[in-house]
Amino acid sequence: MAMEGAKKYFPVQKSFIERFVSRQAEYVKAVDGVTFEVQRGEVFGLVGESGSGKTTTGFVILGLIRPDEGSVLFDGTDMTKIGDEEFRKMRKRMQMVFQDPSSALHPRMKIGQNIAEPLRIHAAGSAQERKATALKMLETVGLIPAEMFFDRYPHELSGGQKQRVVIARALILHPELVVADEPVAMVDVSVRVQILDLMMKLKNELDLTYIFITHDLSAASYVCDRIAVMYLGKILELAPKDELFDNPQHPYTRALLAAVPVPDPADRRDKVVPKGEIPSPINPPSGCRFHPRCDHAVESCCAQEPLLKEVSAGHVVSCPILPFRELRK
Amino acid sequence: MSILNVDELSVQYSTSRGTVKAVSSVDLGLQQGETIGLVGESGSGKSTLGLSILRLLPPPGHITSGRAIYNNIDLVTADEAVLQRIRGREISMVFQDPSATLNPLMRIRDHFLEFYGAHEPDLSRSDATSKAKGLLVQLGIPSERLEDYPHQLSGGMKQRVCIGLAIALTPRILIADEPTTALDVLVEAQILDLLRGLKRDLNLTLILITHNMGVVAETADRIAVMYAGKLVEVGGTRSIFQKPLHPYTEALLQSVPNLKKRKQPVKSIPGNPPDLVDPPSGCLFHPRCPYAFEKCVVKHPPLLSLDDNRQVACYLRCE
Repeated sequence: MAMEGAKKYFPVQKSFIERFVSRQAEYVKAVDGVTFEVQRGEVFGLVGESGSGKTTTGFVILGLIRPDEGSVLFDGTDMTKIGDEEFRKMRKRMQMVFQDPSSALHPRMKIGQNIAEPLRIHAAGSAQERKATALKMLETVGLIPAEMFFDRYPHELSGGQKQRVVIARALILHPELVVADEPVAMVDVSVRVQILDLMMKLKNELDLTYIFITHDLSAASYVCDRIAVMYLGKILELAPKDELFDNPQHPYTRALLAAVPVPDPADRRDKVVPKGEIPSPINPPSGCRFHPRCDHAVESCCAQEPLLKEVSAGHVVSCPILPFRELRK
Repeated sequence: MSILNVDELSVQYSTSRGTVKAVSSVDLGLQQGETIGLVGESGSGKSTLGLSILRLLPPPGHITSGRAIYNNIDLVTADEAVLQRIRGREISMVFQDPSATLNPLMRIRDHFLEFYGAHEPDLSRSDATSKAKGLLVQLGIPSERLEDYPHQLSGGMKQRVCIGLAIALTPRILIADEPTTALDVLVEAQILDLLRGLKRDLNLTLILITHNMGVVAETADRIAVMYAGKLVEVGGTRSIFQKPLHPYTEALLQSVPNLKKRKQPVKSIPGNPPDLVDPPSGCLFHPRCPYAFEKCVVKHPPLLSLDDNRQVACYLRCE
């Protein structure tokens, strides 16, 4: 999978009067020129705060939202240029796991029907075969005895069990790529690692590639091979997991990593947290989007939009003043 | 010195499916000036316990037995008028979702005016406004934001406003129920900083309710771990992290990936939290516990006090 310079601007709804007052249309620049590649078999993390554009990026990858610009290549095919029929075929090969399993499952459909729904939509097999496949899938995700879960309704299951159902549904068509949008954010703490372990087990058994979208850096550190840090619709830094955590370069990444509460009371330190909050993506700051909150910002930071530069193998950073010594420490 | 003593407190919700024992026989003493982290996952009863202390439980929740003694007053049986004087002035609360706490149709100023109107009726409007301004500035919000509506503020600012309302009358105890769960990492760090600062400046006693082990590790002096409505372990933050005594605490700590120690193995806890309408027999954790033996299935172990101010409810530690 590769994404090249994808952009998605959402127009801002204006009232009748406002339209007369200002001629200029305003846009939320949700995804603003994002480029990255995901290798087959990889777990690629997209991390960022709310409003960073990570979920929109996920939607663009799956074609749930068409980008205004740029291309999304899946296995060499540009998904933005193909017709509906071909698109439907491609869509079978990529699936999504949503954040909130309670709203992702149809409350009035039994678990079995929920899981078999993709098979029905893509007209795979007879009703009997579909049921057999769904039962097998339930076992694969650890909902045993499968027959019992098959006839239950979503509200009878716990949060963790529901997320297993959502994963089962995403995998039933044997996709190659799964985009998981905050798959454990709504799940109980004691069950989170269970779900992550399950996802990793399934990845190995079924040869999956994951794009793992999260705001939780600890979860990302647990599963991802490479991680891209997003801020206001742009990727600021992208590196292999260990390189990112051991040698973060972008001031934003460093701040983010320092802010994560560490579950170790011996490791209490005073943190330097950047002031303020993520600005509005309607009129993002000029130049480097992080400059108003950056301790290291110099004049040129607000003038020129920095490009991603490679600092070491596979580690790219978009910071105009890099590399400089204090930061490299 | 003990400032609040919760004693054998039990809370139930009557639902159509049956009675949910959300909190059962919880004993907890709170020391003046400490920060206690009340830890547990959703459904463990930690929020219910927090709400019960101020008797703010929404129906069908009700306290079935026990006491909560503050300043020689039992908050469970006290008159509504007495409680009204305690809420906000002596003990106050910050909730998880600031967007749901603030009234979307009221300006920030009116939130403060309403608050002062209810608690300090003698205060004039202009005095109340200037007090509110002072508070906002103290919390790092420009005072002109008083004229804004909640939707014009960012999530972090809204939570600051909620904290401002909670500390406006300099209470002695602040109950913060997942105050940073709805916020992004950087804002979370800002709000935790703010709470730590306020605690120091106002000599607050803080009850921090959270599911995030990182947040308690950085903020709490002591930790009380809840599981399925019961306290399973209480102790100093460092000693609990160093040597958890209850299998649930141990499993919980092992199930949280640590960014700083990525090589450290992470283990998941099998199974799911119990259904409290139909809880398991004996120790509520036994179906998920790797060490469970016959006794655990029969009877729930009592919360025993050990030395070093530790308390634990587990038969493994009874000898």
